[in-house]
Amino acid sequence: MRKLVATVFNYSLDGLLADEGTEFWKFCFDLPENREPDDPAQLDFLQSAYAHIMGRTAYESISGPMTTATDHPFAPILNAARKVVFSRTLKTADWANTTIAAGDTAEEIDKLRLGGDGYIVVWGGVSFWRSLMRLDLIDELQVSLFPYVAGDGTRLFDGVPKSYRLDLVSSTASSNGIVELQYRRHR
Amino acid sequence: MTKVIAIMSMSLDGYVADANDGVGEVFDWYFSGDVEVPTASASSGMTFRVSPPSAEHLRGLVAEIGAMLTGRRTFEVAGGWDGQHPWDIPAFVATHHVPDGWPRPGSTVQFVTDGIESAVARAKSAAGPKSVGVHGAQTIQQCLDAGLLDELHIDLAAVLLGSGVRLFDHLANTPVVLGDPAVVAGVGVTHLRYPVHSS
Repeated sequence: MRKLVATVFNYSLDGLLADEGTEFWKFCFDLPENREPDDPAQLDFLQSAYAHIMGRTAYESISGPMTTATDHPFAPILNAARKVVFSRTLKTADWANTTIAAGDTAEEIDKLRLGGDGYIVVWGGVSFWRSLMRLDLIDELQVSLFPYVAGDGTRLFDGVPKSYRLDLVSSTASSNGIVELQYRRHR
Repeated sequence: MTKVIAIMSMSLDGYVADANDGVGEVFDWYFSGDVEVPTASASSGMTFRVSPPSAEHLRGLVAEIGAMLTGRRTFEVAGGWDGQHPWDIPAFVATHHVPDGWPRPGSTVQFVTDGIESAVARAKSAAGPKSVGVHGAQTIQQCLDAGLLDELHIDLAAVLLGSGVRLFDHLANTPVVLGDPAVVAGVGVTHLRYPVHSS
């Protein structure tokens, strides 16, 4: 069965996401590795995924830049990859290689997971992400922890199951004070 | 210079205790390894059992801290450490009122009722050439707000609590940009040590 791997790119020490337009957002995207993310391991991770899944919000915010700013390191990978957008309202998805999953979330995920190995990358947005957490469908978390106490922002892990145990797979110091954390769901 | 270092175990979602002040899950790493690290105080009888990297980290930290500063809540939850902080160092409790029955004869736990600056100053002079450890969410918040912290030491536990006592709550001056952390990967915990830039 394929694993669901959730990526969290901009996470503050106080558990908040960098909302667009905030000081934290500016801090994150002033860093070159965020503006131009070209780490070969990261690109290989995206490239090797069986599929990329996202909610409508993330679909709308990612598909635009990826189809116009084609010099972004993610663009060739994501444009060619299998993508599924989870939405009950979206009627058509113009981004190449994208299908719409409009049914029950758990059943739609099962359809993607079954019948093979490898992994599926979970993008946002926050509400899609939280719905997967609530259903306890996420197998692995990759968090980029920034050296930053934001104070204001979206609390990523709001409404997750209580006492949600994880196994730490790795924690590595990266550049600019960022710590890359990798966890597996403890089952 | 005597450094002031906040020391706290925290869940990945930012909680240091559950809603009932329970710390079982964020403190799991203290008791989930094979290497025994006894605390200095024989009377507390407490021995940590941690992974090898955590043991090295913990021994270094215990050796470095010469006095501990906490708030009233930490003091209460710890039962006043029976009058002797388990690291066998003087403990200072920042509080509005000295609790009944304290200070106790023979105890190294002292109380500071005239504010956080004074509490830090007293702990610093007791620590001598060593560092002051600051423990407890509210006390750390006060120190951070007052610009009194030199380092922020977080033991990031591999768990999501979902609710409870948040470490970085009620802060007056956010955002706070920290320096590059030293990172030690343990088992089920990441030890992170951030310099706090003076603003």
